[in-house]
Amino acid sequence: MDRKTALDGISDVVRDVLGDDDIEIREDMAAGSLEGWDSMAHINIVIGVEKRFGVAFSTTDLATLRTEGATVGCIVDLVARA
Amino acid sequence: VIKGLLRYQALDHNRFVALYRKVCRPSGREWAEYLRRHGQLYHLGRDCTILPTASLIDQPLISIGDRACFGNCTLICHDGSIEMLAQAYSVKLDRIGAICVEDDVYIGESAMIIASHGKVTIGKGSIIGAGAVVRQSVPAGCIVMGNPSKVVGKVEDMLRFWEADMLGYPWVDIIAKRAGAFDPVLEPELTRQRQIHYFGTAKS
Repeated sequence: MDRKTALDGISDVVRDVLGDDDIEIREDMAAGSLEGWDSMAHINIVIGVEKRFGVAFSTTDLATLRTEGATVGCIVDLVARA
Repeated sequence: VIKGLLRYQALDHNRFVALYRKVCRPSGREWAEYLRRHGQLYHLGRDCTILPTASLIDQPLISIGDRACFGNCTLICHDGSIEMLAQAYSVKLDRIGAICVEDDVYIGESAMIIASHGKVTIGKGSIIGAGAVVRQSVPAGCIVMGNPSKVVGKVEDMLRFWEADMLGYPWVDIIAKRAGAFDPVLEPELTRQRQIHYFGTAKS
């Protein structure tokens, strides 16, 4: 899967979870940098991404997304790799 | 010896309970056992943990399943304004509900479950977050937060992330050895490592 398709899909999930259709997502954005993207929203976003693309991330993958400095691009990496 | 005697009197004979609470400071597990034996709850299942500071009002209208775990929370099954309304408006009202907490539920610190009208069921395996004010039934396996409370996620999803978070803890090996959620033997080393992790140094 190309990165643009992944980013578009992730953007849809983020908008849905955060309840804001106007959100613009970029790969360099830190995960959690948007208002409302708290730890629970993070879980729902990643689970939503899994469902959207029919993938299942490993525990190690999930740990990567929780580290300081994790970006939206990290989620794109996982989706694009799957 | 005194503590043992008080514990025996309270748990086996329902005597000196206030003194037992003050002197023995019973654990949540022990207090749940006391409630199971002597409380007025409609039902209280096995292996529950209920802090003595939890406020279970209208106990005959509260049913609690197995392995429920309560922090310093409040469960209430009536509307206290009835007394004022009766006097001020000369009306005769009843405003009573019931609470059913199913198996494996956790209710956090300062959370309130209010059933002043109808039955509120907290579904099996759900988590009620600290400070949540719950007035409606909660489906099984959900995480509920806030006031007014709302379902913010599923426990099964959260578990996957918490397991992933564990991998980042320097003390993950100690947790792997720990039986249950607290071990007094391992706690000092865990505290030391956590202080270093979060503050940079351990308190000497």
